[in-house]
Amino acid sequence: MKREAVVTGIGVVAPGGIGAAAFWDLLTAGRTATRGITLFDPAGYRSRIAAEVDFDPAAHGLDDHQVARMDRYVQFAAVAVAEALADSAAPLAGVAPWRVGVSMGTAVGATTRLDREYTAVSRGGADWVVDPARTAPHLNLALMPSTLSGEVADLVGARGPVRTVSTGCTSGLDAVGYAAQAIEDDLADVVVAGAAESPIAPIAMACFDAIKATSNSNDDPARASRPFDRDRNGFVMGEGAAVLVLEEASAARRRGARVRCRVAGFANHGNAFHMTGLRREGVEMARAITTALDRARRPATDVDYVNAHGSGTVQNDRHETDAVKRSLGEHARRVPMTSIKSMVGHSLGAIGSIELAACVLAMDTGVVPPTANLSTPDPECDLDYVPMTARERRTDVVLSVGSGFGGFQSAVVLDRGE
Amino acid sequence: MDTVITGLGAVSPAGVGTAAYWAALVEGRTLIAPIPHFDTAGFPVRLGGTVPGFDPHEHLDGRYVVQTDAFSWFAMVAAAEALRDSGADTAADPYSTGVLVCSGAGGVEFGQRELAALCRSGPDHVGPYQSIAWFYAASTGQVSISNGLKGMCGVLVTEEPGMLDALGQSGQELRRGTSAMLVGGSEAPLGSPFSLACQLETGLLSTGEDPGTAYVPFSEEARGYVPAEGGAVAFVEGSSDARARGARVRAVVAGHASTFSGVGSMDPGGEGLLNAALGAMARAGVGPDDVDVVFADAMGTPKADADEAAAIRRLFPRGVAVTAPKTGFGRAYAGAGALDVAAAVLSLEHQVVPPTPHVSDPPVGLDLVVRVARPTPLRTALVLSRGAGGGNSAIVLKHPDHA
Amino acid sequence: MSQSTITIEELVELISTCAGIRTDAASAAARTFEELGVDSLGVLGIVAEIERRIGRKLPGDADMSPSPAALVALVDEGAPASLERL
Repeated sequence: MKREAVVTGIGVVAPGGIGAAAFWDLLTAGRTATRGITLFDPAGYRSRIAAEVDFDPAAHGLDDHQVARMDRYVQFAAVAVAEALADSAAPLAGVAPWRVGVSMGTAVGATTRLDREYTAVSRGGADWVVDPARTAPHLNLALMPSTLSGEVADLVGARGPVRTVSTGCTSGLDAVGYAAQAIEDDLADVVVAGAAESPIAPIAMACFDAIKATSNSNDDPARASRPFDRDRNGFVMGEGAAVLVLEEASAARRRGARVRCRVAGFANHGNAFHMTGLRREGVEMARAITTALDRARRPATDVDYVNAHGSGTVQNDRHETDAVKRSLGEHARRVPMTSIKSMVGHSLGAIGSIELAACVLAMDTGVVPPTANLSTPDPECDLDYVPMTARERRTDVVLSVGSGFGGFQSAVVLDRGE
Repeated sequence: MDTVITGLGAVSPAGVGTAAYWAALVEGRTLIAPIPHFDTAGFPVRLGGTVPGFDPHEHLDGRYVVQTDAFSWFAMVAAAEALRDSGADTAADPYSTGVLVCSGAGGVEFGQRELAALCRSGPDHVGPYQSIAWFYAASTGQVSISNGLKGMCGVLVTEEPGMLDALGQSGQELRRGTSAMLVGGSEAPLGSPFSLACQLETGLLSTGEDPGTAYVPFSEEARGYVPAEGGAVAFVEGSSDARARGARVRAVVAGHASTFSGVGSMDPGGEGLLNAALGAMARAGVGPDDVDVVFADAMGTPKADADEAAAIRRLFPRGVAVTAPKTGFGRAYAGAGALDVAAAVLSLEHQVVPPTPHVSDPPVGLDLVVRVARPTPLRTALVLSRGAGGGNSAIVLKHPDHA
Repeated sequence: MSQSTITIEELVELISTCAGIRTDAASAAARTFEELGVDSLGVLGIVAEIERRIGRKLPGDADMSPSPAALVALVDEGAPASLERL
């Protein structure tokens, strides 16, 4: 019998509130969590705004040793894992550790810590040959983004395939896609999947400043992230994590788990064009969507909701609009397509998983979250982006799309099974 | 459907190309030397395996040189060799060929340069390429772009075992309809003093000053490993596609498995490595008597070596030839598994087990090939790898005539 | 003491160091960045380096300059001498 992967639990740490309930409240209310940066002094930066998580690791059960060892993004993941496991109601009971996998995505890993520690060991950048005697503990864990999946594996007791997926801004979709494939291909029975990122640090903000990719609406942070709006001027950096518990479908049903949805199809393609540039036509993203739908054995007309990449750059929004039209055809005009980045910002590698968590909640509740700040649509972006206000709508087949540096275009299809 | 390797490329401390790499392996040449990239006087670790005289301008368009780190240069050069070697026409359908190049720490030298500019002079002094050079996906992106490959693009970060896991992942992708993949792993950690400083806390890097004795796993003098740079890339496709186009099959990827032992744990007891090997052999349909050679992980610490030797003895109660050619040049992080896979493919092809340089005698109970290469009939090779992050992977490669 | 303008020869050098593309003054003067193979990130790096050399910010859309010649003209326009002429 064909093995399938289903989602039985989710956990979210996102700007605006910790936990899936707070996250969903924010999204369905159309509130934005973008604000002036507080995590470091952004004076002198072009973009001084971000969607930050108000986070106290101790309040969420992390002990002193974990706080010292784990970089901020790993701490986010740890909190999201705990919520996802609780939500899934003991998915690991009776499962051999060798059959439990972890698949976590991140684009830039422990940038926050590496940035801070580099400043210390190089005497403010003065010494190219840094002083190794001045290094803080746990720096090797920071150097390796594999630490993210490793820490998650240790938390859940996974001893099967454990990997960090790092395809830039599509990491969060790809990590869940690979996790589903691991279950389908009988490499694991349960995979804890998701992504985490904490890029609100000087070097990450500076490198996006340098290419003018981030919004400089510093005087109006709440309305700075404006996907598909005529007045948008770049993405707003975010941070956070989301974790999905994936189980083999028949085993999940046998144990009486609440099956939230199936990971029905996943695909990605490179555009082989440019590390940051996109061709307007969106051919490769369209191809990723079509391949994911094919693998899900769903016609385009089945899609009830598209969770857009919707980063709020002119280039992305037009590229994505064309890609969705190209892949869904006339149906594209009938399907709501929204960007939650308008509210929680763009948390690079994490956002794909955060968006998948939003898709699961949309299917759960029969509500499609809106695209906030969309008051004056770009005339070249002419689909139904659900401006400003959430909409009640039953969704059974949901498509989530991502696009990232490297030219990567990913698509995941969730449904309620066949 | 079998996954087969029809193209191979390498950039190693032996230089550019698989031919140079194999020549050095068979000889058991010493490629470990003082790290030339910066003054290591203040560091307890001073030896490394670096790619000699590598000038990226000789191999790459200048545009790529300014916008990428050395870890991507190595990946791009190895990918170009693998693609040439495969003889495949990837232009006919760009969507049919994917790319999956594993990374460990990303573009650390490029990143340190930009961090220094930021710290010294402020955010205005961070250049536009930092956003695409430092991150772990840079090599996959640039290999995809420079070769026009629009298939599935992936990046796994599992440290040393990366290539083994990439081969496993590519098999999953090929079963879903992608025709071919360029898969590999590369790392260039030695150009960044900060990167080396970050690693010292593990205590796993050798502080030896003599290239001949600094990295001697499975011996009483074992004192850690020597870090290295480099990488390898393989072109893989389905066996029927390879047959249909008359490609030379260099090896068959018969089975892969991976396990996890805990963050930074180095698999105490060897149970994780044992289970990975058992899983890979089961998926390959081979038993202990079918395997002719094991490419060991060879961490180089007494505990890790003893655990690995115990796992190998349990897997092969009647013995098996074991080798660790990486002792000639060091462990290249995400490039390590890739260079080991390349060594295994070349070994099967030449029917020769390369020696384990610098280790003069095999330990009791382990048929470690030392001193000189051993010509012997080889049908099947098992490659073992442990990652600094805590993962263990194994892959079974078969000679095409014995698949 | 920083310079106030930039010559096409200096720009040729910046195209090499910032974008990795070798060209000469005649080609640089006659062609667009796209024709020379300099992509958007390359132009951003060139503009940032010019700003460091001349010690002042160029207009926000300087990186949209289509060609080296247009960029040289843009730097000239904002130079103190030309401001005095206004």
